Amino acid sequence: MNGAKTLIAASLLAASAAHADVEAGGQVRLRVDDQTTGRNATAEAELRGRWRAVTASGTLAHGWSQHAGDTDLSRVNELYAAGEAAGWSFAAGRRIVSWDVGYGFRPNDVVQQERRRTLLPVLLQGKAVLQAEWFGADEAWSLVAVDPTSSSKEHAFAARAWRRVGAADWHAYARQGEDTGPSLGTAVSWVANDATEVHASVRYAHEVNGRVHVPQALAGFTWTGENKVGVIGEVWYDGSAPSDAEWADPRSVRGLFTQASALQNLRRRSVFVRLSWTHEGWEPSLDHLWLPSDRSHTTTAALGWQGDRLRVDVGVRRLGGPAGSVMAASPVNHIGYAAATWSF
Amino acid sequence: MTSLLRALAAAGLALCAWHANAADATALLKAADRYRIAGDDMQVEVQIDTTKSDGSPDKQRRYTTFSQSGHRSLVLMQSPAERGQKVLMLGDDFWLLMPSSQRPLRITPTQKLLGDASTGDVATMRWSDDYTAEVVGEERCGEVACIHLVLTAARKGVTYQRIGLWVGAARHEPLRADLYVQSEKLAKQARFVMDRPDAPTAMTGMVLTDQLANGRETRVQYLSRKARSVPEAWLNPMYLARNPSLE
Repeated sequence: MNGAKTLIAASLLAASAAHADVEAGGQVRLRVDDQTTGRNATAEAELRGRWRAVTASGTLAHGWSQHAGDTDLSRVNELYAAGEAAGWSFAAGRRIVSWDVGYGFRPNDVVQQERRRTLLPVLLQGKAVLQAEWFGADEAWSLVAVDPTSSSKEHAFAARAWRRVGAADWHAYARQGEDTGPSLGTAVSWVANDATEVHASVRYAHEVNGRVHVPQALAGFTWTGENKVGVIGEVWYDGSAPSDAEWADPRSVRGLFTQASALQNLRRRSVFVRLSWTHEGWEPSLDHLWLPSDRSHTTTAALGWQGDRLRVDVGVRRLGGPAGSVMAASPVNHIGYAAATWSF
Repeated sequence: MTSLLRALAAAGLALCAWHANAADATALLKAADRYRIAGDDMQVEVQIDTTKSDGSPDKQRRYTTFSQSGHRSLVLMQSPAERGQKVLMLGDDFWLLMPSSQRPLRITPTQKLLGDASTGDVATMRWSDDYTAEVVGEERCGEVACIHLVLTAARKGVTYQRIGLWVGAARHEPLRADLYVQSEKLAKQARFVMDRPDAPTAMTGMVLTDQLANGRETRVQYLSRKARSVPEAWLNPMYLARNPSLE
């Protein structure tokens, strides 16, 4: 299967060379990181292409880990056909479908459910979907049937309605999962003045991660000054995360840590702040995630430089907090990374 | 009674002079705009070269801009490092679209200033759509006589709140401009490049000097212009988020 995927990815480049009507591009990235559990290095190529109605993207990677040795990975991130008929747009295949308005947490990202606050941008792996969409001047509808995948093991049907009202985008979301039942959500993003955007998102789900009657909510803002300083501030509540009582129970803590990689949030309440400055291709940034329930935190300092085709990123993330807090107990308490990305 | 009539006549004359000045300024601005873009619905290919503070070359970027009637513009980034990114501007509302996401990001007018040539610099093709003009007076711009205009933002979402614009006295071609942001800081200075300096018919580019970033220079070239009306769906941010083919 991996060979077939590799073939698809490689054929994108070959096709681009052979056909003038093929749009193609991508990037090559070298990355090294040093974390509590050891050192890792990765070389990966992301390839994207479009030929007529078919769009595809794939990743080829070779990794080296201090503990696991060498690994190879190839995957198809997207492979779908799209077309239009009777005023509707249709798509079928593996496709990235990202919804909601937040930065640190997106409760209404009910199709893709992408991991947030990654150290470097990651090309997502799309879901197997059938999608129908309609677009008016200031409104849009999107209906999606989602097939089970390795990360989402149920059939689901999701819908999004969007309406532009002055300086605000209003969104409404609904999802019906075969096993998890219904969820409803809404979100808004509003440009309040020349420098400030305010956003909020609310969702109620019948079931998430085995928990029932789950509320999730986020409120935040972005502010950008004329001096190119940017600030993002957000607070959120995730009812699908383990409760304070569960974390306080020694019998359940080990189990919670084993589930951690599948959770969007380890604690229900989070506060997030990010500062950045853009200057002559450089972008230093500092972000801080604080979990008030146990006063643990994650701090990330990063520096990015964007040249003509080359981008360089370096940074460090540290996790910490009082003894017994969730971040202090994490097996990884620091990560340092460096990456160079070449676009073509 | 006579003095009252005289005062009224003087006020009437002043009002007429002010009205004539405003009309002249608007006509001058529209004349200057015609050197940048000839029609309502246009496709313009733009190349931007930036240099570092020490004058050495830095980056090159390519953009396709669809400038449509009704204050609507769509900018497609074409360079490898940005390919697939788009900025949509509908009146005072702006969205950034990234190729790997189906999630349009609402951006503020200030966020349009990010980047060497802001997307506002690339997409704004007509001053007369966005600004009211006033004639300051006639001046000398190097060898030629020129008219100094002050443009004040007529809409809240424009990139620059105030522009000092100098146009040729004879042909009204744009010569140079001082671009001020909301806080009244001088953000950039622009020099306009015409196809034929002695008898200009079209603007072929502009050179922007960033006063907020150590005099960093950005050269904007208009590579081609052609009339083109795009489908209405292309001006819907949710449609653009699907990453459709826009050719």
